[in-house]
Amino acid sequence: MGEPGADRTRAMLRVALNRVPQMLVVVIGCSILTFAVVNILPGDIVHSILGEDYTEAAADQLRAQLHLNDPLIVRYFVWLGESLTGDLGTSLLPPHVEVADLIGRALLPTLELVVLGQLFGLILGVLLAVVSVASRSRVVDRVISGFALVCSSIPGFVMGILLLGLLATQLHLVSPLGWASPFTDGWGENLSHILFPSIVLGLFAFPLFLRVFRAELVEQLDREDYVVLARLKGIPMRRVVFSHAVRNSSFGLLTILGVNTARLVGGVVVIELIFSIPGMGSLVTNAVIRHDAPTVMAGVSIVAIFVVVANLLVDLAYALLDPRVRDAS
Amino acid sequence: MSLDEADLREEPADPATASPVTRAVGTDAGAWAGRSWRDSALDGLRRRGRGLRRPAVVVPAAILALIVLACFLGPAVLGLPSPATGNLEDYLLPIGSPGHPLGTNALGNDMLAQLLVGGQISILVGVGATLIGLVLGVAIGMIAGYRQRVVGATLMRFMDVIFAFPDIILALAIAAYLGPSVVNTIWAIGFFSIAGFGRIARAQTLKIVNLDYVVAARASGRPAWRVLLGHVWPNISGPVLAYAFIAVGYAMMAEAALSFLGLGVPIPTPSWGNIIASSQGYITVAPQLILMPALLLFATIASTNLLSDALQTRRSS
Repeated sequence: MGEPGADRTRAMLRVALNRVPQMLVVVIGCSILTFAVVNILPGDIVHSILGEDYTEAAADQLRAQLHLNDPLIVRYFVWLGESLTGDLGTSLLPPHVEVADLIGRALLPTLELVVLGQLFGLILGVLLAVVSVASRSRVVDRVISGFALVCSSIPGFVMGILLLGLLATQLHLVSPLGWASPFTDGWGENLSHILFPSIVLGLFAFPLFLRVFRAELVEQLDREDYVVLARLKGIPMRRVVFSHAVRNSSFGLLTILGVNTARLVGGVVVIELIFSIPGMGSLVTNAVIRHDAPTVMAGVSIVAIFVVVANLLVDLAYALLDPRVRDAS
Repeated sequence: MSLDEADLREEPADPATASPVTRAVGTDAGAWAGRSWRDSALDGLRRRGRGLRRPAVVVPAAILALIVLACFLGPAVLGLPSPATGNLEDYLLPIGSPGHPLGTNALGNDMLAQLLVGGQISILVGVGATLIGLVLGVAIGMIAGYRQRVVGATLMRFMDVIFAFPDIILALAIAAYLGPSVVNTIWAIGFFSIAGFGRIARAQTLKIVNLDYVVAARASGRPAWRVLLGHVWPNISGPVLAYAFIAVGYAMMAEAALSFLGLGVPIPTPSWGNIIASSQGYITVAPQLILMPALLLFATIASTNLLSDALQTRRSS
C-alpha cells in the first residue's frame, strides 16, 4: 500500500477507465434513439419548413439540400462525424442560426438552475432528515414525511404555477420572469430571476435526499457500535447524531445527487417554460414542436452528455471519499 | 432495501394469529366481527393477504378506489352534461352554482364533468403507459438477468440509454412527431417507463436465477420463456407490482406535464393536465379551476406512492 494520495489517484483512474467507455455508449445510444425518433416517426421536416402548399420540385430540392434521400445510416454517421468536429449544423427554422450558438446561449441558465435546485434540495433534505431523527418525536417525523410526500406528489409545473399565483395574489410579490446573465446584468439581478424557479426545483428534488439520508441516519444509530459506545459514554443522542452519524451517513447523498440530475433535467424543461427561462429545456421543446431536427439532435445529445458526466463525477467522488471503493482492486 | 419509515415502526399484529379481540378492533372491525364460516374459508386468503389490512394499505387503496369509481361511474350515475358542450354565457360560474355544483370554466363547460371525464383520461394514460412499461420492461429485465453475457449486457446498455435520457424530453419528442392524441401519449410515456421496470426486474431476477428451483427448471431442458414465465416471474412479481403503483403516479405526472406543454391529450378531450394548463390564465380570477384538478392529481399520485411504500414494507418485513 503506497501513500494515500497515490491510492486515490489510482482509484479515480480505475473508475474513469471503467466508466468512460460505458458513458460513450450511452451518449451515442441517446443520439441514435433521437435520430430514430426525429427521422423515422411521421412528422415530415419538408412539410414543416415549406408549410401547407408547396410544389413537388421545391420539396425535392429541399430534400436533396438536407440529404434526406440518403440512407438513414449514412445520414446518422454524417451527423456524428460533423458533430465530433464541432459542427452541429444550422437550425432549419429562420433565422437559421448555428445550433452551436443556440446551445451556447441556453446552456448556462439550465446549468445554474439544476445546480441551484440540487443545492436547495440537498440542504432542505439533509436539514429535515436531521431534524426528524434528532427530534425523536413521532409527530415531527410524521409532519416532515408528510411534507415530503406532498412535494413528491405534485407535478413540478403545478407547483410552479401555484407558487407564482400565490406570490402574486397573496403576497403581492412578482417573481421576475426570464433570465438575466450574471456577467452582463450582475449577480443580484441574476439571482432574483433564478431564485423562485430553483426553489421549485429544490422542492421537487428534496424528498429523495430526505428519504435516503433519514434511512441511513436511522440505520447508523440502530446498528453501529460507535453509536452504542458514544451513548454508553453518556454523550446525548443529539450530539451523537450531529457529530458522528451525519458524517457517516452522507455517502447515500452522493448517489442521489447522480440520480436526481437526470430527474431535474427533466423537471427543468417545464419549469423553464413556466418562468420563461431561455434554457436547454425551452430550446429543445420548441425545436421538438417545430420539428427542427438539427437542434433537437444536438440539444438532446448535450443533455445526455450532461447527465452522464454528472454521474461520472459522482462515481469519481465515491472513489475519492469512500475507502471501501478506493481500496477495492 | 426499503427506505420507508414504516420499516421502523412495529409491525401490527398479524390478523391470522391475533386474538379475535385484536382483530375486531383492527382496521376492518366489521369484516371480522364474530367467527363464522367465512373465517375458515378465508383462512388461506388471509394468510396470503397478511399485512394488507393495515391502515397504511387500506386508506390509500380506498381513496384510489373512490377516485376511480367516481371518474368512471360518476358521469353516467349523476347524469352529467358532456364536458365540452357548455354554454358560453355561463362562463366562470363559481362553485355551488345551480346545475353546476363545481362551477364552470372559461368556456362555460361544467367543471364536475370536466374533472371526472378528465380523470378517466388521466387514469387511462397512467395505467396504459404503465402496462406498456411493465410488459416490455419486465421482459427485457428478466432476459437480461437470465442471459447475463452478450444479450444481457446489450439489453442493459439499452436500458442505460433510456435511463440517462431525461424522460420528459423523450416523451416530448415521440409525442411531437406522432402528433398529440391519447394513444400517442400512452406510447410516449410507456416507452420511457420501460427502463424503471427493466432495472427492477433484472435485479430481482439476478437474485433468484441461481436458486435451486430455477437451475432445476433450466436443467430439465425447458425453453427459456417457460422458465421465465413459470418460475422467475411469479417470484419477482411482488417488488415489480409494488413499483408499478409508483409508476402509475409517475406516468400521470408525465401526462400532466405533456398536456401542459400542448403535446399530450389534445383539447377538447379533458385530462387533469390540460385542465390545469388551460386554466392557467385564470389563476387570479378563478383559482379553483387549477386547484381542483391539481388536488385530484395530488390525491391520486400520493395514494399510489403510499400504497407502493406500504406494499414494499410488507414484503421486506
